[in-house]
Amino acid sequence: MVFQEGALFPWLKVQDNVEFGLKMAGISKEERAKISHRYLDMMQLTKFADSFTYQLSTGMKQRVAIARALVMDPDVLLMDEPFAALDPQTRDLLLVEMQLIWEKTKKTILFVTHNVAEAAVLGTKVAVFSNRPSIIKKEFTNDFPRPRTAEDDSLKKFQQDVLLELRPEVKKNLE
Amino acid sequence: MAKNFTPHRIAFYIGIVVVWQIIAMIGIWPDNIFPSPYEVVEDLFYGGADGSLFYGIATSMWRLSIGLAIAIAGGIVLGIFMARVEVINQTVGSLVLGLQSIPSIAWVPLAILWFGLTDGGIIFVTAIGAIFAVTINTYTGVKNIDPHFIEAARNMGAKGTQLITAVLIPAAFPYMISGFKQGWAFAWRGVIGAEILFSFLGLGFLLNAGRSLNDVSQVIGIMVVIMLIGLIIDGVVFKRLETKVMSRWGLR
Repeated sequence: MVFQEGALFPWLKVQDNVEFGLKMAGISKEERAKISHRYLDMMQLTKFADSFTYQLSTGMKQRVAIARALVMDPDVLLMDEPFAALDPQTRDLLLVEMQLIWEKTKKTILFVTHNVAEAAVLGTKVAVFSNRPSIIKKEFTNDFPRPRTAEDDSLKKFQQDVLLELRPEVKKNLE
Repeated sequence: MAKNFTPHRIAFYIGIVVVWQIIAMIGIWPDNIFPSPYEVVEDLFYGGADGSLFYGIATSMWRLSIGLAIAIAGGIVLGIFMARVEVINQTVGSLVLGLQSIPSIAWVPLAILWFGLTDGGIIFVTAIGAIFAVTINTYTGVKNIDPHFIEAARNMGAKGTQLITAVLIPAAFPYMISGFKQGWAFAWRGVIGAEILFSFLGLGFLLNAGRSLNDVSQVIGIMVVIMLIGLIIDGVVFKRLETKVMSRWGLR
């Protein structure tokens, strides 16, 4: 689970944040370090292992949060608007990184977002939810070649299709 | 630390001592009513030379440490239970608020009856004067924890005591520090007050001994010592702890 604000623990160093779940599971210190180093390396955070969270940028915090979720080796990684609080440039970078992580780990990722471009870049399957009751209104399959970026023109048509489904639901919300 | 020694401040304190010395030299009041700063320092020096001053400081600090340790340990446990269990909050919580309003000195008669004129009695007064400040601040701290912290910790498998020691206490720590600081201030007042009334060793006892010997220099000297110890512990121990915690927790 990755939260919108990251919800990192400010009283722990980056490495201890990443190892938190392993520690709760009673895994030994050496084993924890081995696992956390692998994911810190993957997220390019090795240099910051001993930093506290207040010393990190928001983009880095979010990468720590992702590493923290990945060390638990979950079957499904649930990400609840993880990039909502990021500036657009950082977000674009993380969108590319997310795809690399996904290819490396082969995890199923359930990614909740309000940003259609984000969904188009990341999603293999994109589900549009209806306004109350929130049920899946329509599912799109997105098989454009990767790596994709937010500027890809070929994704524009896909985004428009998604928006077409989404707009009436947003409108209902305003009425 | 350099901030503590600004020119203004130094000049101010030198000024106080000079004015005090001048008033004493004019001789409006006799020496045994209004001693000069020199006499006060001299008195403290004798106290230091025969060791009674340091023995008094050590005794008071020892009682304070034990009492405050009990208050902190008990206050944290009580505060966490109040914050996490609604029934305890509604019952014990209301009692805590009531007890908090009792000045610690008002516990002295009960402490003497229960413990006699012992260290235990003074430590009891110290601890009970400080515990509710720690309790209330811990309670507030735990209540104000960002729910995402708890949700994330649960998601990563933390439960029961693990959740308390690994998440609740560190997350509430900035509030708890304020509780410790308030608790220490209450404990310091409590221990000195109790020592005056118990008249059984410590700085409070030295104050009272000065009174019974009609030795105003000793009374003023001990009061200065009590103030200095208060300033040092507040400024060195708690200020540093607070600054460190606040910056690490990203609150400043």
